[in-house]
Amino acid sequence: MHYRNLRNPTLNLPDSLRAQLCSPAETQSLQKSVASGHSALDAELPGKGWPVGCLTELLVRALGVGELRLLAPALSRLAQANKNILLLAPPQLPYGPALAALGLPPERFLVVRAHAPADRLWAIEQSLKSQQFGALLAWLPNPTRAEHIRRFQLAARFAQGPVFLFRPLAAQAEPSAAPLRIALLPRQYPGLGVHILKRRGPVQIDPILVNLPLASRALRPLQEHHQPVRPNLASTGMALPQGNHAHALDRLSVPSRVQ
Amino acid sequence: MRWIACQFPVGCNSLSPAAFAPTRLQLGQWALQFTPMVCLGQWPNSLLLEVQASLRLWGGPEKLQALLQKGWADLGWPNTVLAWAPTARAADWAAAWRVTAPELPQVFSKEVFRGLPLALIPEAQKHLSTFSRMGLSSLGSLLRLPRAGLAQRFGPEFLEALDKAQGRLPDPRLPLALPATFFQTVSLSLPTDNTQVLEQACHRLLTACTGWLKAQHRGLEALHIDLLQGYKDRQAIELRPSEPTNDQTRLERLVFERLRQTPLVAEVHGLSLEVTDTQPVVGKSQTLFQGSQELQGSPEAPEKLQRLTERLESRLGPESILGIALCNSHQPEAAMALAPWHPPKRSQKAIQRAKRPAAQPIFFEASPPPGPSARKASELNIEPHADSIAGLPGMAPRPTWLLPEPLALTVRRHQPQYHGPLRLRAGPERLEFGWWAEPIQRDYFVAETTDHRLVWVFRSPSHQWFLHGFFG
Repeated sequence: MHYRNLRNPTLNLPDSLRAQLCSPAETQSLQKSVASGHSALDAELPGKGWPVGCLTELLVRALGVGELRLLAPALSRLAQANKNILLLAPPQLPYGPALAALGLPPERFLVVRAHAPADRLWAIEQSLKSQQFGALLAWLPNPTRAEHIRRFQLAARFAQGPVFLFRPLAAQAEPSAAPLRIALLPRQYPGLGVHILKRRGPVQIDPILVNLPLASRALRPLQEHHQPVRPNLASTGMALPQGNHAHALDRLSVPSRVQ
Repeated sequence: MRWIACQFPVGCNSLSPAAFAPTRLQLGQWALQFTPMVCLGQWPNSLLLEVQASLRLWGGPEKLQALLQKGWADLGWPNTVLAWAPTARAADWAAAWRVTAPELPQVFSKEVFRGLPLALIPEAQKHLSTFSRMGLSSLGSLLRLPRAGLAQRFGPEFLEALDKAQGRLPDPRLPLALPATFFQTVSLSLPTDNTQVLEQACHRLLTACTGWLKAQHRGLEALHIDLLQGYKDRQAIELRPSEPTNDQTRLERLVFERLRQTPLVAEVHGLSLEVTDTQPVVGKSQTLFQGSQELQGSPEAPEKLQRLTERLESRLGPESILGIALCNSHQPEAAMALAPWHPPKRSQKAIQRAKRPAAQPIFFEASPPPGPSARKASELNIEPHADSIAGLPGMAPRPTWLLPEPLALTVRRHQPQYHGPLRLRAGPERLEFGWWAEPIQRDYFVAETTDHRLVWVFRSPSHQWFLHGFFG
């Protein structure tokens, strides 16, 4: 006797069809993901975290917008599970002590240097096909044609970890096969506006503000430039600890929405 | 005993039996991976394999036969005829029979075997006219005759051969021996620079080579391919896998990738493959229960990652895969080293240590008893807001992306400029080093650009500003 759910007929469909028909809230249970570590972001990402087995495009203006601080909680969880993190053609050298300060063991990182665009695309595809990575962070050559992204998306289907492709902001006008496209727009420290341009599910218009403080507070702040950004606590239900926060880098990591 | 005889279609390739002899030896050496008992047949174009003991290893007769057929095809002998029989001689004769009569079954029973034409028995060649005069055409009709008369008329050697074929007498044979090093050449029919043709030739050489390696349970450390061009010119390809291997697909991938990367100087008329350095490799044990592979899948993961890096290196160059190592230095540039990545090797010692029971105390690895210093550290962790933490080394912010060379910045209205004026958010942190050579003093600041990116800048004693990193 085959049990049929009459109240929700979509539950009787095979998973592949259901994912296409259902609302994002329902598909969330189908998508494998790694929690991003930022609760406000997790709530908006399909699958409640960085998706596994499909591409995530991160559009950034340049290096230094806080991209690694954003990914650090997820990456450190993967690294703790003894998985390797592949950095493919980063524009600058990653700095080991800083990675360690973010909770990312440097020995888990592999940096692949590829200068020619063709080599870079080839290396990305080979890495995706091998599926031997905990997470893949790749910096795409500019311009990258849409069919390359489509090939990567096909190759990424069986990947065991999240795949992040870094592209310049200008690429947001181009079509892309990546199911998740996010623009990272830095705000005043320690804020980072995470703008979901494309996802499986309804359109997200408001950028999500994620606070990404630096991992240390050893430097003395310069008083004359000190302009505290108070996170919106009403939406999170958290209370600030009492005390004088006269420190530029001494802020709670409380994610809050842009008003 | 189960024997397989393989008859190679030498006639189709217009080779004389004498010219085929060295090739037969090479083919036999390849087949030694399936069974140690491979010997030359009585026909100049046949090989005999005794496979009774290896059947289970190769997954049954059908699978073994498919492997053999595929191997012969890969080595350039696609239409090789196979026959199974309980004795070596019978298999040899049966295979020759199957060449002329392909409708016969591959596995010969006694009944089928009785129909064997006498012309296909090597020992009967000199008596063939006598047989036809006696009206004998098949083996069955001969065996029906009285034994004593047969011995008298055709001699004891012929009778002995018949007995050996029927398994009444032992038929000891010497197996082929393996050469210590591997060297084979393939000559192409036409000089070419077509990569596909070269890949095919490489495929054939590597098939033979991996067969030779597998037969002795060894993996190659280095392989040397010469692309023969002209009379004495040659282009060499030298490959060193990251670990000894006899995996054909893996070697092929490496060789093909290298072939594509190698610009050919002239057209190639032949290839030779030489392997001299080998190491014993440990085979993989098969699982006892089906489906338990997923449970033990994890130990394979680093090995596969190694294959990926090997592959990437073969195209991008040896220094393209880097690992990050921390160094003990407070000079920012010296605190980290990028070195070619090597897979974490588990030495024998490490494996033994891992096998050791956990309860056994390891003196040197035991953590020190929690003394006053450790307690202090834990107190600090509990209260990170305490002022004392500011003095701890290693807690100062460091950029995730460090420029290899500091970038000089212009200064306008006393403000350093990088895509607009920089606003200093925290600092300074003074770093001094190199007093023994060239003293360097830098005041580091965390600064924010106009588009809110965080950068790491420093000011030299001469009040010049430099950009040194980005906070990713």
